[in-house]
Amino acid sequence: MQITYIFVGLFLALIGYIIHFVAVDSKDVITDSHNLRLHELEKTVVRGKIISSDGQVLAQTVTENGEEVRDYPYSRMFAHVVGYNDKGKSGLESKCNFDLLTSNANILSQITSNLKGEKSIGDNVYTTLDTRLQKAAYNALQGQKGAVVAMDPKSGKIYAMVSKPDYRPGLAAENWQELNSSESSLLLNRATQGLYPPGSTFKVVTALEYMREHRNNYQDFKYTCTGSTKIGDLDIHCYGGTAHGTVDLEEAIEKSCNTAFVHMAEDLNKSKFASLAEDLMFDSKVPINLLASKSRFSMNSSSGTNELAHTSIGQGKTLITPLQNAMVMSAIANDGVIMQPYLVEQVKNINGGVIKETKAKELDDPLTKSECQTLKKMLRKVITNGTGTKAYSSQYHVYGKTGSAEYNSAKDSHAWFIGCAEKNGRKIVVSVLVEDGDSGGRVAAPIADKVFHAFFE
Amino acid sequence: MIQIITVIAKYLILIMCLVYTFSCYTMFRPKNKERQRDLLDNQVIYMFVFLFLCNAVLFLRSFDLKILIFFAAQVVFFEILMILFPKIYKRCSRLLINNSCFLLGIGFVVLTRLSFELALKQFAIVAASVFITSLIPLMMHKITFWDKLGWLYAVAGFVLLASVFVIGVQKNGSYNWVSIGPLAFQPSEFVKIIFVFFSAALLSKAKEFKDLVKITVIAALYVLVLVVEKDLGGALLYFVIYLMMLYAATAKPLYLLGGLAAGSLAAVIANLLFSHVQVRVAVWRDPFSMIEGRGAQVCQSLFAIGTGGWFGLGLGMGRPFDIPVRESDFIFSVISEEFGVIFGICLIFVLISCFILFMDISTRSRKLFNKLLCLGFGVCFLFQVFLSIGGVTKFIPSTGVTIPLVSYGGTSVVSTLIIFNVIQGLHMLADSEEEEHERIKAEEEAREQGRNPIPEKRRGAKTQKEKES
Repeated sequence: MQITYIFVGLFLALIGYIIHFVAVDSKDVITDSHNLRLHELEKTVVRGKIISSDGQVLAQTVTENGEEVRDYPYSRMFAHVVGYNDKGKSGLESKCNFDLLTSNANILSQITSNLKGEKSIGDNVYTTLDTRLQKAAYNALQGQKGAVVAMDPKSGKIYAMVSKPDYRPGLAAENWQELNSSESSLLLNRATQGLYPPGSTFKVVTALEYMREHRNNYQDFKYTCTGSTKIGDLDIHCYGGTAHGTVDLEEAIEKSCNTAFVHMAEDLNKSKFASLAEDLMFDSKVPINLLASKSRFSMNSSSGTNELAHTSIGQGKTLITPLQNAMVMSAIANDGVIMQPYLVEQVKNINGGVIKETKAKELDDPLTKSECQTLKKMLRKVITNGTGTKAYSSQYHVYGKTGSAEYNSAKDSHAWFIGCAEKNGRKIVVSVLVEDGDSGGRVAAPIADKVFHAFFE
Repeated sequence: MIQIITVIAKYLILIMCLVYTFSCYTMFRPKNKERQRDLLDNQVIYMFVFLFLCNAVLFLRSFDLKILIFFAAQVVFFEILMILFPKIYKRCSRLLINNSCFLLGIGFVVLTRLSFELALKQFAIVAASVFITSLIPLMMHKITFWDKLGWLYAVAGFVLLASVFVIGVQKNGSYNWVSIGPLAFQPSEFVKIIFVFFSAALLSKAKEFKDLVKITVIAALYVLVLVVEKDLGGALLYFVIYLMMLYAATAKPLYLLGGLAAGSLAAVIANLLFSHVQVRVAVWRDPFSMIEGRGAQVCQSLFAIGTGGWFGLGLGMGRPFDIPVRESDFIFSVISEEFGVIFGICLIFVLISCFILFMDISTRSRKLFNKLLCLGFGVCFLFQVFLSIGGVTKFIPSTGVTIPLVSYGGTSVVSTLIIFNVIQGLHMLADSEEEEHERIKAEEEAREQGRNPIPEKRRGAKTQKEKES
């Protein structure tokens, strides 16, 4: 008789697994482009809407001259994050394809529309995106190439995600040739897929590692900057060759002093440094509902002095996406906890009934609360006295870090800013990257400033 | 219009399947024979309504007269089987007949949807083999020395299994097919029957530990041959059958645990040694990274099951042709896609109810040989279902096993029909043994109480008559 129980148990496990698969896992599995069944759904369901957190329609299906057309009221503004619906789809249009093409309208109305030979109405996707913040970021970036990510560090909600250059998602099919052949990679979502050297924004990580290895005496760090220094056979310059004079750790961050940082890094433990980067989710897949690149941190215990020096100021082989940099900043802003970034708040049927809901989820817990407090204090100085004064406001409390990341031997650089603004417990983290923007403080910080403003308006 | 009919039919089909499945389990409860007969009659109705709905949809989608004619042929065939078999074998299990018809019926519907030619071929094989295998219960009754041929089974089975090394052909990456003239079949499908007979015969006679060692070594050789043939599903199946029979024969949990430990160790070693095992495991772990290569089968299967969802897309509304090996190994995915996962789970429950029936007969049998035979076949039947459905849903690595009676495949269907008829034979034997036992007991009781035994006997005869009617 025990044998009967063994087998019944085995099958209950199997059935439990199948139920779990259908109820949970299958939702992600079936959106794969190799699953051709979703094309069949298009014949019977009107694709649902994509809606912003402030209730604006970002994408909808309308009938024009008896033909269904996908309409994007904000045109280019949400091009990458919302995506296009032709040619294999992209962005949320791709990732939420199944939800948009599934009708959870009540059975009766489905049968009625079925009897009338009409299509059922697909479910609507409610995003975390806020049109006001998206607009602020989009306009602030103007005609420059780059990306802006704004998120809530406490929940992981993405408020805005802009990538430029952009395109008109409604015309993706018509302009397909041009979109793909363009040299400036129009279709690439720079916010999640673009990999850039982090430049001085990485000094936050180097400073943290230094603090961890000199727990009791990091305050005693002193270095006299003359504008340039030599590490081995490597010449390191501060931005614009400025001599910062004698600086401690706080001032080194505030002024973004390269020479101080490469000396600080000289005796750092490379493998501990690498494991901190790992904790900050470098080299791991960011679980977000979009195509995203892995940020890279390649230094390890066998790397040489040159690589260590380069890495400490975010030059070397380290590469990061604007989203990842926003997550690093979020960890600092959220007492050391990284929340899983997400874009879809809810999926609702046509009658407003909630079908699915995203719950905020902790991803990682790499920093202690006291480390965060110390870093916040240092990063506040960047805004009040240092390189990031363009992001200062008397209305709310900002802290952050600028960066100017050289990307070629001609010393052309990308402009970075990562920062957080707080007021009465409300927080927003913004990560800005401007390609070939030269100075983070001059070019990227004002863009973040505009997003902060829009948030606290 | 056809859309609406398909959708409505989809729900009706599901309801029929649900009530049928439910009745499989309520069946065991009533002791009242008449109530039980009503339930069995109802089951037949559910089954025919189910078949009618499916075939109606299939016909309306194609307006192909062939489908109607084929449906009529199925009805006639099932009716004959369900009326004639209980007429000839008065004590047969009607539940087992109903279940086999229901499973065959699902198979026919799905095959008709996939390919009419395949369905027809399957039907011909089923009809012919039902006719021939129906003689088995009679043989079980007339021949009494089944349990005395242990060593003969051992040798015959082994030779047949190893024959693929001499006259084998490769198919689907495994070296387990034999073709003689126009016939191609998998010896392991038949050998598993001989294997169960061999294990039951020898284990029921084993007296010392030495005997058990001998039998276990032979069983291990069978498994080894299958591993060398790269038939991993087969190897696992034989292993589990033997382990369960050994446990049932000895009632020593130590053997069960030791066997499981040895089996796990063997699996780990196999994974280290054989590249084809490594590939299967890698595909199981992450099929999506190999979606355009070896992972395609499992991915497409998961797409089908996931897109079908709870209620399915409706008969004829899915894309079963995207699924590889759809008519045999992956038939569960095809069923789930169009009939829905709830239907798929019902199907699993119907298959489990067959197993419970097997185990029930095993408990009722008095001879150890018969007990073990029933148990062995029960495990053989159900574990195969587990391997098949577990594989296509990515619960376990896929091993390319069919669902008995539902999947297309001559060898598989013939061997399952043989098993079902052996079980029918054992069921009848158990029944008559039980009655014999009751009669003797009643007589003894009557004698003890010093009463006239005749009225008791009559009462006994009456119940027997009731059972027969």
